[in-house]
Amino acid sequence: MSFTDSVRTERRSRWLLILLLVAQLILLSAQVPAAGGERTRLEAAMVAVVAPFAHLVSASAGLLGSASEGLALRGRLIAENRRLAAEVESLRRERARNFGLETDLGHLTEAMSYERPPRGALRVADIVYVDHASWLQTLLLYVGSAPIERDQPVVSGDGLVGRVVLVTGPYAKVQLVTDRAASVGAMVERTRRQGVVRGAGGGALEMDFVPLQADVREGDQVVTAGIDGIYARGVPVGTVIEVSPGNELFHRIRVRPAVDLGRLDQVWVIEREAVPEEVKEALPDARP
Amino acid sequence: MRGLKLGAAVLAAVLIHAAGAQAWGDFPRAFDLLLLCLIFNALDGDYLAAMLGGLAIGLVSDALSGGLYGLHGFADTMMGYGTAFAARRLVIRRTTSMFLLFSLVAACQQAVLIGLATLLVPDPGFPSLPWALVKVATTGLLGVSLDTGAKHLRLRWATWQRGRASRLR
Repeated sequence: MSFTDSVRTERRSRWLLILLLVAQLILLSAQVPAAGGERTRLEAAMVAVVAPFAHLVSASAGLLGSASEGLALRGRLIAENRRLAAEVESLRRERARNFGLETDLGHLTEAMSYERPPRGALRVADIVYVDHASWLQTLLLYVGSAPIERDQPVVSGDGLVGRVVLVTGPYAKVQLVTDRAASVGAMVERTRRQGVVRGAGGGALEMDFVPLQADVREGDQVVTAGIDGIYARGVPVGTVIEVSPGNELFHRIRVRPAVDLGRLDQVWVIEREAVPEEVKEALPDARP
Repeated sequence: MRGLKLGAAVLAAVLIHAAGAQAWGDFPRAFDLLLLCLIFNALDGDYLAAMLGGLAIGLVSDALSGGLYGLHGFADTMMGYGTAFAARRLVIRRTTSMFLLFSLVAACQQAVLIGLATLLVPDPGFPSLPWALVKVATTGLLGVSLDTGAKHLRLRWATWQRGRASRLR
């Protein structure tokens, strides 16, 4: 190739690069107003291509793990079985003590004409890929053939994990609660004081919009408030680990997530109907 | 053939990446195998293949990460072009210059991602600096190791073929 040809190729490539970058920038900018909203079809297609391979790895690792566990951990399983039997016994005793309370509660709510919002059924989903440590964190789930929907909450036995942001075939992408773009309407369980919990980077959470005069202490439990149209009330979000004066109006509250995202292998998707879009649009401030 | 090779490399990178993330939660912060595929694909200096390969690899990275879809696609298209540009000018490929090239591409990719996120997303936060440096270093080390390994294998293969040809004669 002569020098002139080389210069011409380079110039042509530079124009192509600019064209490609501008096209991508337009596509990226188009997503920005809908951040946390609709995801693109391209993303759905790419997740559908990549997720089966991640699933293959996770299934193989699970198979190997369970085989080695079956061989090596018999003793631990026996101990765990004994502990669980004792726990079942204690729960039975507690149930006997609380006998009739649920019926009484039912009668009282009926008398007050109060109707609880539906809690939604729990559906188990396997995690096929999780990156909870990186700057741009993500979680991929295998949810099977029965359909799930965007914005359905994802929880584990310890508390809130996040919400579904993309569904493609049997796979779903979840926005973790620790993601900087995620926000959850939450409250301090002890005082019922409400605020907004956001990802603070590095796997921590921050609770905003809690006024300085509000009583918040280290060790307080933070649970979902059920005010954002996505999460049901009362799901554990985390524990307050630091309270300091943030600015003139609000506390700066750091919260340790209830769920250790690095130790998850299964989660539950709550099949709950989200608040209809037209209601959200009528009350744009109802969603944090 | 080239596309098939790249596809196989990306597939292997995705499988190793998923297995690594399963075994060690910080794996995705410390290693970027897809970026290595991108650099190796662009090392022959073919601009078009480097840019399109970068775009495809970036979109696969986007599928395995959160945030706006296309951030990696954009950054990796630039990195593909940049690597091809540097590869055309890098006549003698010593270990140190290759290490610098791999590390520089990793550092530039992080910088482009941060810049783009800052422009497009309100309060995007930043990746942890120590981990970003670890990623830059691991990309450099892994890249040089793979490059040296591949050269060594090619040399042995050529020697074996020469030996076989002389025996047949």
